[in-house]
Amino acid sequence: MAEVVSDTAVLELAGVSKTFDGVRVLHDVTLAVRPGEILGLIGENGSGKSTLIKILSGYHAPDPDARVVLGGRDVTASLGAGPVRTGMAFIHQDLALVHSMTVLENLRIARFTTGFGGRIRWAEERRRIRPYLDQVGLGVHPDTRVGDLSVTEQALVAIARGLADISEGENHRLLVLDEPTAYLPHDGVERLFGVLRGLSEHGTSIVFVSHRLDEVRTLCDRVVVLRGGELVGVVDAGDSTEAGLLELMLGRPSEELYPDQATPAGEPLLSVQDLAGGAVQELSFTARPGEIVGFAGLPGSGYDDVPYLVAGARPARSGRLTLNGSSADLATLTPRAGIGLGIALLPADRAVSGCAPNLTVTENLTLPTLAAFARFLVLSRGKERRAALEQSARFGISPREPGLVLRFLSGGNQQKVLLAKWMLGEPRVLALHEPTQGVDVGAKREIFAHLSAAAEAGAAALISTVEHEDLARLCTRVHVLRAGRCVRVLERAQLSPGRVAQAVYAS
Amino acid sequence: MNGRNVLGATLERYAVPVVWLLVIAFFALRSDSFASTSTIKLILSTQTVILIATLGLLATLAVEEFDLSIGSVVGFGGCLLAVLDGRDGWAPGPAIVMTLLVCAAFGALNAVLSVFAGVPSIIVTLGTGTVLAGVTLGVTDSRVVTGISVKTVRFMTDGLLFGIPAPFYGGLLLCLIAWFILQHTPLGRRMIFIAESREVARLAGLRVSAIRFGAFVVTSTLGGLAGIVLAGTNSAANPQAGAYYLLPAFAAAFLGSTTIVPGRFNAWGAFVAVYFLTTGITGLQYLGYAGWPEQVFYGGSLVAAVTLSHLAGRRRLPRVS
Repeated sequence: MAEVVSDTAVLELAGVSKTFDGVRVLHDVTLAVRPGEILGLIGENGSGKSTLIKILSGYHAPDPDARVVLGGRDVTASLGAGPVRTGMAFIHQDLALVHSMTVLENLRIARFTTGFGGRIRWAEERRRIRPYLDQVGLGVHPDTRVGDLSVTEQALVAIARGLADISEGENHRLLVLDEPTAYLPHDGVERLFGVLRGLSEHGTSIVFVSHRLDEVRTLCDRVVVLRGGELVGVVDAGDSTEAGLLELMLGRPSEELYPDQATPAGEPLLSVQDLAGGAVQELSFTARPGEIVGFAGLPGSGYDDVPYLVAGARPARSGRLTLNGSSADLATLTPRAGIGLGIALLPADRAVSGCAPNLTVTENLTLPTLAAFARFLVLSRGKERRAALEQSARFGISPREPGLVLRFLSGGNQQKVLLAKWMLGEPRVLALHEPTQGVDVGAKREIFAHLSAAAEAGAAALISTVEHEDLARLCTRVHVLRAGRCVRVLERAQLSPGRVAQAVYAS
Repeated sequence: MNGRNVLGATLERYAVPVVWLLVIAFFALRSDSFASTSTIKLILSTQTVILIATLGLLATLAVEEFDLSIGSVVGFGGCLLAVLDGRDGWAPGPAIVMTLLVCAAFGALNAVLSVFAGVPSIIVTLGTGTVLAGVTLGVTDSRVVTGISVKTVRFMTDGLLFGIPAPFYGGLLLCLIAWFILQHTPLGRRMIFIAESREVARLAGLRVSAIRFGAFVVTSTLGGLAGIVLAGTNSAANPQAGAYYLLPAFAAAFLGSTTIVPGRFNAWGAFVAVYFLTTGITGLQYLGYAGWPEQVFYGGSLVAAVTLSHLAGRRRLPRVS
């Protein structure tokens, strides 16, 4: 109960730093979480947020001289050795629930009480979890399969499990929620916030990690801002403004947006109308030859579904694509038909959907255009090798040894191979998701140069990425998505990393 | 590649053929009657059934599907031919064509369940294979069926060249075709990609479902052909025979994938493996060991081949789902 809670902090961090391979990703963070408080934690990608959470969850050990006190006990020594289970529970974005199992099984899997002969005492188990379900306002029967629940209810199950996991003897309770709202619908977010407020009124402390400044301001008591591994501010949420938080996060004043420019005239090469699919609710856009169109947004906003939907890799619910005069229904478009139209897809998950790492560079390069290397059914190895050597030279693939198995190449060179593979088919539209993920700076520059060259030659490119700087540097135009819809279009003259970030984080 | 790598790669490619020659030399020294033309003829002419079944199996294995019904199809194919030709008086040609068509249709059934319904092929074919074995018993009243046309039997058993009957040369021709398709056509390359990553293949615009479908049909059709050769050679069909062909075909296919083109299911590797295993078994029989060598050899070499190629990092262990 709020009134009996003591004044001492539930969690205290003092001088917490973390260095990976000589690179300091977290620098001297000092911070206290008060009992019954909802503390927001915000920061850009790479600000050290995830590292801090991983230290708290016991996954990483902090650098020496740090001190972490939890519920009055110094737990520093035990960090890095696995989960810390003293009055603290973590709810991650993916929730980590087993969908085919029941609510009861998900809550109690590791700690069933058993009776004679190891029999699970189901009735007692149901009684035991009831209070936790009540605390999160879940009226579902404990025997309901988690997969049958709504996304919001699943999030609440994860929170109930977190509460149940906190051992009952503890005099404090701390929940850490990592981006819990990314995949929740609007009314689900409100329901979740109601539950969290109720828990905090009854003395549970909550650390709420989020990208969404409006949510953080609505829900939290105080907001902690991380930038470049340092704690740059602790702000009372009531006194904060979105612009102020953004400035703390980005380290520079937020820029005024110029009025939207009139789009230059010219026939579009690609036009997508009323696209819905994945997290995308409704999106229309066009791309003229030579244009590089960017898509940005928070996780769950749908920005990262666009390349896959346009290329037919994932079926859309609806949408129409017109490319160079031919038209296709995006609900039925297959990758094969997409390639036929001239669309090439470079997925983010290189090892699984991008390439066959156990096959050679040549084999990976020629896969989509294999028919061009066969005469009367016979594959010409010589012709394949010549094309592979030519592409290796053109794209600067190193080592220039097309017979090498692809997995022996660096990430950057693998990505160049995949770009080269699609360029062999001379695509009209390149759809890319995180094209420079796991790629070193040099390769990144080369990949961008090839993209620009392809655009200058008359192709169009679509890029979804979290790298706002890349978007600002490369794109003709950037669409910013929120909850599946385009909320802002930034034209070339208005593009800067800060403006993209501002449009992404602020509502 | 440096010299050591080239040497290692060559050793890996030809290890099984070299061991095969050593095995031949060993038995030739130990048994006077082993090294004779009659032994060679015997080995070459009796193993065609396994060779054809193994080549059939390559089609599904190459796209990383498992067809456990291959044995049942061999048994069923032989019995259907014997029933149509021997019992119901069909002419040999139509009986053979009908048998092949029915087996192809059975392969299509496996394909529908695995490819379109999405059930793991290992489960589908375990079930359908068992059903087919039951159907075989039903069709034949659980009795050996005789009376296959003399024409068919003579074609299968009379020496064609060097006293070796026609089916062996047919098997050789099939090997040539399989080698050509798997290694020298776009289709073969596409099958490799489907095995490596179905998603990459799909995103590259390949007709993944059609190719997987075709693979099941080819496996069952060649299984049926193997059954026809079996029944024709014996001039009778035993409804229980299918059970003896499942493991040898898998053993030869996997052992074959460790040689000639290591790491990939390949036709000449399968050819070498079939005759290597037979040589070992026949040799032991010449030395007076009967009964046990067959199962020990086939089972042992299947496990050894898969283990070795897994340890060499050549192949991930097969996915069941």
